[in-house]
Order: sequence, then C-alpha cells, then structure tokens
Amino acid sequence: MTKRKKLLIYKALLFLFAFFIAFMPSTSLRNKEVNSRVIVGILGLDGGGEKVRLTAQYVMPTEAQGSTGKDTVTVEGETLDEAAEALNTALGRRVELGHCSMVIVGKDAKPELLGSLMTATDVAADVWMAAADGKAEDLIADLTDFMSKTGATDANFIAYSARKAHIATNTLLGFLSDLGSASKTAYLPLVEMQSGKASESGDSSSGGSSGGGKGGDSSGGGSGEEGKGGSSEGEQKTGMKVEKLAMYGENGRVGIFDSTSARGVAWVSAPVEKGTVCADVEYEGKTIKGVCGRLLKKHASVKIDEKTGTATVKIKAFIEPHGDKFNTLFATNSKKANDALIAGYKKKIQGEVESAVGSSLAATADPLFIGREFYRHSPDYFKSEYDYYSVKIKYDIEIALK
Amino acid sequence: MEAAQRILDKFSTPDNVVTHEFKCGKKSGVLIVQPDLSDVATARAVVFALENTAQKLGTLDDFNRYALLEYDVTISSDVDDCVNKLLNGDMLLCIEGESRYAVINARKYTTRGITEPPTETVMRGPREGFIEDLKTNLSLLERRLKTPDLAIERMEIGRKSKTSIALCYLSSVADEKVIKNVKKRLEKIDIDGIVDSHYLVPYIEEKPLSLFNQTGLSEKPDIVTAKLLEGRVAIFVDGSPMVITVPFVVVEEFQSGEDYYQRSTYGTFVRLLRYLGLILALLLPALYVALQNFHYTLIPVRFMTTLMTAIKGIPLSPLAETVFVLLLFEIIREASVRMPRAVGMAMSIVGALVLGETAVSAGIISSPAVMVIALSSIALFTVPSMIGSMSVLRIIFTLIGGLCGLFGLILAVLFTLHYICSLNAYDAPYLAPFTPLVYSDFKDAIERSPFPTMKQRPKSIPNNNPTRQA
Amino acid sequence: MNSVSQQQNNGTALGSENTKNAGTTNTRETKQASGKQLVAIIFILAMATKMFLLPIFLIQASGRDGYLILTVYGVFDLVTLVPMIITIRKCDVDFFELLSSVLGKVGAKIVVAIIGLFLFFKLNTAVAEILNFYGTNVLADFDTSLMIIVLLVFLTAAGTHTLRSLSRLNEILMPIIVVCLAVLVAIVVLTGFDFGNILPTVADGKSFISALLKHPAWVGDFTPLVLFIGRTRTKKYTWCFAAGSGLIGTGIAVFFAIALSAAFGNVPMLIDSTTNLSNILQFSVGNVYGRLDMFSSVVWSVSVFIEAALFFYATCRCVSFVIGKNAHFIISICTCVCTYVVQVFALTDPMIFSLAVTSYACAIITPAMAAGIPMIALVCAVIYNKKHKNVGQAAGRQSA
Repeated sequence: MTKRKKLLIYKALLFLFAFFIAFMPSTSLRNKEVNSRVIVGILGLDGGGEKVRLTAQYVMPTEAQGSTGKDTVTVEGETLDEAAEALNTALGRRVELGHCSMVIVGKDAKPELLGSLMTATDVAADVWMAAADGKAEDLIADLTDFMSKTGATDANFIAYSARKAHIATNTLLGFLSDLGSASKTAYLPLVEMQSGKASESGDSSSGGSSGGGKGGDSSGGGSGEEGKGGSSEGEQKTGMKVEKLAMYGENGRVGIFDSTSARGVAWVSAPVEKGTVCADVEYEGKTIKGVCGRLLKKHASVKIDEKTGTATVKIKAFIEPHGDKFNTLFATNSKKANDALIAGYKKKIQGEVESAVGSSLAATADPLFIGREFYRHSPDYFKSEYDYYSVKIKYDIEIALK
Repeated sequence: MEAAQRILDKFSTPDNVVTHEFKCGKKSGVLIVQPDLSDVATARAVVFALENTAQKLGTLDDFNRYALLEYDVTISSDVDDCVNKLLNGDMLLCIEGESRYAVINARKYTTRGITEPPTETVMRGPREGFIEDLKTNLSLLERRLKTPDLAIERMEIGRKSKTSIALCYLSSVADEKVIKNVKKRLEKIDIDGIVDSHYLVPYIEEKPLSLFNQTGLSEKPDIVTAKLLEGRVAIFVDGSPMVITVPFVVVEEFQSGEDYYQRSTYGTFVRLLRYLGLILALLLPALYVALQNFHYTLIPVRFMTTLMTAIKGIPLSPLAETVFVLLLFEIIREASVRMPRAVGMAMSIVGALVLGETAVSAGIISSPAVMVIALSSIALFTVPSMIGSMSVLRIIFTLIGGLCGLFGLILAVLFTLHYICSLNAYDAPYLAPFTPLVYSDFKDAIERSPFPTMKQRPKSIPNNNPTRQA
Repeated sequence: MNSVSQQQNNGTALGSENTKNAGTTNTRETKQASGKQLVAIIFILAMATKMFLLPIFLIQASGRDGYLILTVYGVFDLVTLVPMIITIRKCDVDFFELLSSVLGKVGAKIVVAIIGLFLFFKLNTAVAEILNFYGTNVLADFDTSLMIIVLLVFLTAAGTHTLRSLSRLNEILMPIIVVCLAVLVAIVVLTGFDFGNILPTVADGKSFISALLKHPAWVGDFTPLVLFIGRTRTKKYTWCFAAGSGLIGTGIAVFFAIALSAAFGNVPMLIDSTTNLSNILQFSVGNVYGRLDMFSSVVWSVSVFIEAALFFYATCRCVSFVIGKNAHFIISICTCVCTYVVQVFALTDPMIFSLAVTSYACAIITPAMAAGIPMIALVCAVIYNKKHKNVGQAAGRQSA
C-alpha cells in the first residue's frame, strides 16, 4: 500500500470517527445536562411498610446572579424506586441526588430503605445522616425555613455542629455497616427544632448556643422549648438542637438516648474528637460545680477478654480546662487541685459512658459495639457464648490536662 | 561577442541585464551587470580601470592579475554557474577570443536594519534580530561564536530561486549523524523556489503532517547561538529572518530567551506558569463542558448552584455554547492579527467588549462560558509558538469532552500524548526529558537552574561533547 | 542516525509491511524501552486491573475476606514476575526470535498463537472492566456500543505505534497516577477509616475457597512483559527496582482492597459495580472539595487504559508473528474489530461477562498461562544462551 493510499484511509477513518461521534445519541439528547437537573440538598425518608414517602429539599436558581432559593416536595411510592421516580415527575426535571448533603430518617422509616437508597439511587455512600423525632417531612420543612433564615447553603452544618458539640454522627455507609455488624446496632443524631415567638427569635437562638454555660450536663442547647416536629401556630422555628441519639436495630428505631447517654456514646465513637466537658470537682471538701474544659483529642477503644467475658472501654482524653472556676483552682497551683480536676472529669466521662451502657441495655442496642469487638477478635466465643447482657463492662479512663 | 551572447541567450528578457562594451588596448570586451542586484559604481569603476590600463592585456588571467587586482574575481567557464552568479549580483566580464568569464563580486542590495524582532521581544537582554540578508545574519552569529569550530556549510536550494542556505553547527559539539541527516534531507529537496525558511520546515521534519512543531524557529542570534552550543544544527535561509534549528524537543516551546536574563528562581516560576497555562488552555473548556454535561457530581455543591444560576435560560447546550464562544474568539483573534494595527485596537474592543458583553446580557451565552474561554485563551498566549496547534487541539478536546465526557477526554489526551511520545526525530525524543526520563536535563526543562549548575549539555539532544563547563 | 530514523519511520502506521522481522516490535531498533520504563510498566500492571473491579467481585463473593483473595492473586503474580524479570535481564534477543530459535518456526508460531489468544482474553477483561466502570460509575446513560469506539481508537493507535511510544506514555503518566493514588490513600487514611471491619478473617472458609477458585481470570497481568525481552536497556539494579515496583503496586492494590473490604465487610450485599474507590469514604469530604476522590479515581483509571493498550499491542504483535507480516495498521484494525464484536455482541450482559470470567475453565487456564508464559520464556532463554555459548566456544576454538 502506498503512503498516499494509507493517508487516504486515515482521512476516511478520521471522517468516519468524527461522523460517528457527532451523531451519537448524546449529541442530540440534552436530558443529561446540568441545566436539566434539579439539585436535592436534603432527602427525607418516611414509612417503609406499605408506602415510602420521600421528601426532598431542592435548590432552585433565582433571577439574581449567584443566589438560590430552597423549597421542599414530598412524594409517595410503594417502593423507594417508585418514590424516587415520582420525585422526578413532581419536580418536572431529573433530580440530582449526588449532591445531597444530608439524609433525614423519619421515626417510622425502615432501615432496609437506606440500603436501597444507597444502591438504587445516586446518593453518595458518604452522605451525612440524621434522624427526626417525628416525620422527616416536617423536619425538612422546618429546616428549609431555618436555612433560608440563616443563609446556609447545604445541610452539612448539622453534622459538623453535632460533632463539635460532642455528638456522634454517621454517614449512610457507616450506618449500614454498623447495622450489618455483629452488634446489629446503629445510631443517628436526632435533630430537633426549637421554637419561640417571632419577636424573641434572636434572643432564643443566642440562648440556645450559650446554654452550655448554665447547665453542667451538656455542652450545647437545652435552653429553648423542645419542638415536636411540625411548627405550631404563632410559633416560629428559632434554632436547632442536636443532643440526642436515635438508636436503630435491625427492624427500625429502638429508642432515643438522652443527651447524657448520647455523650457517652460519643466518647467511644472514634471520629468525635471535639466538644466541651463540664464536671463537678471535689476540692478540699467543697464541690465546685461546672468546671469546663475543651476536649482537644481523644483515643477510644473497646478491649475484650473472652475468657472472663469482659469488655474494657478505654478512653484517653486530652482536655484543656478553662473558665473562671478553673482559674480559681489553677491559682492554688497545687497537684491536689490538678488531681481533683482529673478525678472530676474522669467521673463525669465515666458517668456518661455508664449512662450510655444503661440506656443501651434498656433499648436492646449495642452502641459501643462491644458485640462487634467480640466477633472481630473471638468469633467462636461470639457464636457460642456471647450475650450482651452478661458482658462485664469495665472502664479505663485516662485524662491528660493540657 | 560570442561569450556574452551565450549568457544573454539564457535570459528570456535580455534587457534585464545591462551590457557595457569597452576597449582595453586592442582587446574589446563586455561587462554584463544585473543593475538591480549589483553596485553600479563598481561596474563603472571596473570599466574605467580597464579602459585606462597601461598594461597590455591578452587573456582573462592577465585582466585578473593586472587590471582587477582590487576586486574579488574568479574565473569560470560554466555558463550556468555564471548566469547564477550574475543573478546573485556579480558582474561577468567577457573578452573577445575567450570562452571563459571573469566573475567580479559586485553584490549590493538594500536590506533593512537590524531591529528587535517582534516575535521575541525581551525586557532585558540583547535586542538584535536576524534580518533578510544571509550575510548579515551569519555575521551576527559569527560575532557570538568566535571559534574555528563553527562550521558554515552553504548550499543552494530551488531550481529557479537558487536560494542560498547556510547550515551552521559547532563541529566539536554537534552529532555527526544529525548533521548528515539534515544535509541529506536538504539535498533531497527538489523544488522550484524557496521563499522563506518555513518552506524548508516540512522537509526537515520527521512527520510533516503532524500538528506539532518539530523544528525550532528563532529570529534572535543569542537564541540560535545558545542552541548551537547545545549541539543543535541551524539552517539559515537567505531572504528570511527565521532560523531553523534541529533537533527539537518540546521543552523548547516553554523556554524563552528572557528566562536566561533574569533570576533563575523567577525563570523557573515563569516556566511553571507556562506549563500550567498550556494545560489550562487545552483542558479547561473541555473539562467545563464535560463536567456540565456528564459529571456534575464532581462539582462542589456551592459552585454548582452558582453555575446553575448563571446558565439558567441559555438556549444553547453547554457544548454548542462553548464551541460557539471558542470559534468566536478564534475569529476575533484572526481578524485582529490580519487588521492594520490602528483598526486592530477597535477590533478587539468591538470583539471582546461589545460582542461578548452583548451576547451575555442578551442571554445567548453565559458568563461562565465566556470566562472559561477567556481564561483558556489568555493561558494559551503564555506559549505563543504553540497557539496554532493548541487552538485546533482545544476545539477537538472540547468536542470530545462534550460528547463523551471524561471518558472521551482522558482517551483523547492519552491518544495525543501517545502520538507525541512516538515523535523521535534526529534521535531526540520529543518529550525528553520527561520521557525518557533524563534527570540532568530537568535543570533547563521545568526549572531554570543557574548557569554554574548546568555543567553538562542536554542529554536529550545528541551531541559529541557532553561537558559544557568544568 | 539516518538509517535509524528511517527505520523508525517505517515502523509507524505508514511503515512498510515487509515480512522481515514480522511479529517483532514495529521498528528494527532493538532497545525500545529503558529500565525506568520497565519499572513503571510493572508498577501499572501490578495494580491497575486488580484495583479496578476485582475487589468488588471478591467482596460480593466472599465478604470481608476479599482482600485476602486479592493478596493471594497478587503474590501469585509476583512469583510469575520473577522468571520474567530474570529472562528480561539475561536474554538479549526478542521473545519471538527466542522462541523461533529454540522451538523452531512452527513450534514458535503455535506457542505465540496460544499466548496471543490469552492476551486477547486479558484485553477483553480489561476493556469490559473499563466499560463497566465508566458505564455505571462515571457516565450516565453510557452507550457501550458507541463509547467503546472511542476506546478502540486509542487502542488501535497503540497497536500501530511502537513499544517505545507505549513505554514512554506510561512513563510520562506515572507521576499523575502516583499523585492520584496518593490523594486516594490520603482520603482513606485521613478520614479515619475503620480497618477493624476486616476482622475476623476467613470466618466462612467455604465461600473464601469458592471465591478464590472463581476469579483467577485476573492473574497473569505480567504476561505482556514478554515483549520487553531483549528490548530493554537494563542497568545493574533494574531488576531490583522492577521487583520492588511490582511489590509496591501489589501492595497498593491490596491496601485499597482492604479499605473496600473494611467499608463493605459488614454489608457485602450492598457493594456493586457502581461502588468503587470513590464511594468508600465514611466521612464526607465530597461537598467541601468537590468529589476530589471521584476525580482522582477517574484520572487514576488511565493506568487501566494503559494496561489495556499493552494487552492490545501484545496481541497485535503475536498476530503479526503468527501470520508473518508486519502490517501493523491492518492487524490493529482487525484486533479492534474482534474486540468490538466480543464486547458488544458476546458480552452484552455484565452477567455473561461475570459467568465467562468466573468459569472453572477460566480458573484453570488463566493461572496455567500466567505461570506458563514466563516459564517458557525463561527456559527458552536458558537454552538459547547455552546454545549460543557453545557456538561461541566452538567458533573460538576454531579460530584458535
């Protein structure tokens, strides 16, 4: 074959290729473009028995350059796939679930729905999860109002603020993985809305954020009235509260952990490293209430011993105490004061973990994943003898003051 | 006279040349001059000298020995060679009874002065540029390389144009195989005329149909000198200020004369910017379209909402919009290059401001698309010698990115890279020192190391003498 | 130089179709790859397809023990790499020439035909994986029958050019691949991955063995290295670096398999081909940086493209040798058409692909070929070297 002929063949092939590419279906179809999509920021799941309800908070471009508006829509289907398809119809465009930043699970949502959500839709496996006290639909409606007030663009802040307030959080895959583990337990932070009168909104929200200083129990929230999910007449959602944990078993929600138990779970949850600890310190016969400190870092693990059927919860927390009460103690500059401070924090943390264990026994859940540890390190023991209720739990808490 | 007639017969219009008849003693003769290319004063002086000579002159050798002592004279009997010399500005002297000719050097033609070349301006550094005169160009080079090693081999190419070509290299540095190969390729050229050095480029390149430059082109003596010192071969063409250098590797596209006249740190920084500029220029529009059409999941959500707001209501698809803006830009660029300078300014204002702004405000194209193409185009100007090829590639990549997403784009990039990897003209791998990896050559590839550290010549370029400094 | 350059010209797509040197790499230039390029190629081959969809199939089949099976395959391949490296180091002639001189021309052609078939099978495994990954993970509404054309254009280009171009392509892309791997490793490590989920090991021995026996289609990634025999400029420690890069590549593949096993160990039923490296993060970073993980994953996938190109190139060279013609362009087009037919008509359903690669026939043939090819090369090299040593000695004696 001559060079010229080969060149001709090349040109013909190139032309064919260009022709092929130009007339590919993707050229004529425009349903894939970003403009033909609607972004869903938060997705809510309710039901699971006969009907599945999907609530989506979607983002709409507005006339003003760079600004967006948010609204919600709720659809229903017999299965999750049907509901997801109905969402496309309801919004008139294909929904883009890949940018969903939060999935909220309603009280009656079945966990198997979450498995379908991950495999059948574009929702990322690492999307943050939260639980609603009642219906996810109501919570999303309230959150939409709240977010448009605060100007928040996505719902990530819920998970981030929860972790900062020493509340354990979870992602979709994390949740399913926990639930599929030998412990058969998973948890989600429970998001509640605080309500107040419209004129008091500013005060209320600031009270919510500074509530930690008043009580010794928890580090955030607690000062406002507790919301019940939907907004009642004459009241407005003034803030958000994330201090409880919704506990899940294989068949759905098994209970709600109060703030103390939730903090106990957070002590064992490895990713939660920040937060505030306030403890009562016994020093020279007096009780100094609410000596606060910032948690800088922590190492947590559960060690098991199948011979004795014991699980040891090991926590090493690095705390930086601060505040006037600490300053008073610090002024004495004695080792005794230091020891008292460590003992106070130790007692506080142990109390919270014990509370978590107590609540877990009541809720037939294993949020510290003691069962999982037995299964990991001693699967035979786990299969033959393991019983969560008969495990002896020990605590080994170490405090390092900074 | 027979000898003179033989010459004149060669011309289709003998009037083009001027003949001066003279008498020297008893001998009569003719001086043939090409008045456009020769110094008429020299012709006059020669005739005067011959007519007034006191010597009795018989043969051309006598003329040469006694009457034309102060001139550069050669004796030739080859008519074609003499015609050729005549056309180069030499005078021919014929005398009765002689079939030979005395060729007297009287070349003189107008050339422009040495100025700073517009394509390679520098803030600091030499401002001399080559001109259209080969002799001047060679003198500029010789002034910089005062060594007997500097070899200048002359040849003529073009059956009709008889263009003088000079092949320059440093005999102790340049690789013989490269020299031999270049000479062989030049000797093979059988063309009627060479108008500019660009005519030679496809003959010298390994793959003339390629989109990529495989020869270096420079208008500056300092750059050509530096390239000769690295073992390259330079080809000067009479009538062209552009000097071709081979072998050529891709890093040369990113090197500028200015890099060597400023602090090495800054030189390195600027080079990095050029690489980044080229990547941005090539891939940004394609990525923009691919992300919009297929992979919006990869875009951060906040950026995505901003983007969606900006492109709301645009009637064109992202691909059509981007290609439209790209073509619009190319048209404006081409128009402003072709326009006279005074109109060029108005052209860019109309093109960039009025057209762009109006199209965006009318909602035909979106502002992100304009921004992306503008950024890509500005980035492309960081590597001016690659503007042509990269503009074409950019449009191809954008089309593939828009039609096949990242899948197609990655494959298109791989295809292009694979093709570039196959270029290996004159034993110099085109992508060296990146592949094959030559660590020592990195000193003048991505970074611009200070001269004391560059002790070796680039290994990517074949050479005989790797040591540059002790 | 000129002759070399001309030879190179001839070797390209527009090159001559002389029967001389048929089956050898496109050009008559003997040393086409450098030691560094060989090391880089080994790194890519060690991890590319093993990191792609194999971990998913293994986790689906054996749960959290998927990484252990992958480790077994990795070690097997590393063992086969040893004779291959030794042959590359010791042998100075082209693989095809080596076989011809030891087995005779007919014998060599039969062996090369079998090797070519195996390489074609490996090529199709890699192409199917690429299409699967992009079709389900990256591009919505991916039309395999059309998109494969884009891939085949690249593969054809790889087939028509030289081994040198392919080696250089791999070398220049290595830093990008390494950076993407580093980003993915950083994301996995820094986001507090719970690697404890891979415990307990081999809790279900039956499914472990079954999965181990069903997936050996992914071994034998080092077989195209036969093309580097006699064509690589090796230095003193090249073999050391080559073995090291194989080890590191396998290590990286195993690391990501561990991460994937840890993420889906408790829920293996949730993993499918849409799940890849990009989907294994437990703590969201996606919305902060964009899907950096996904982007890195997509860019990293060029290593699989390169591996597929190498299989394609090797297949073409085998065909070239068997038919005794150096018509690289035509052979590439034919191989390309065959690949298209296999992918679009024979492997239309992923299930068919899955059944094909997990069949017991495949489980027996693939490891046999993976181990056999380097061994054949090594044995032939030993025989060849001995033969030539004897010939050399005889010639020496004669001249003495």
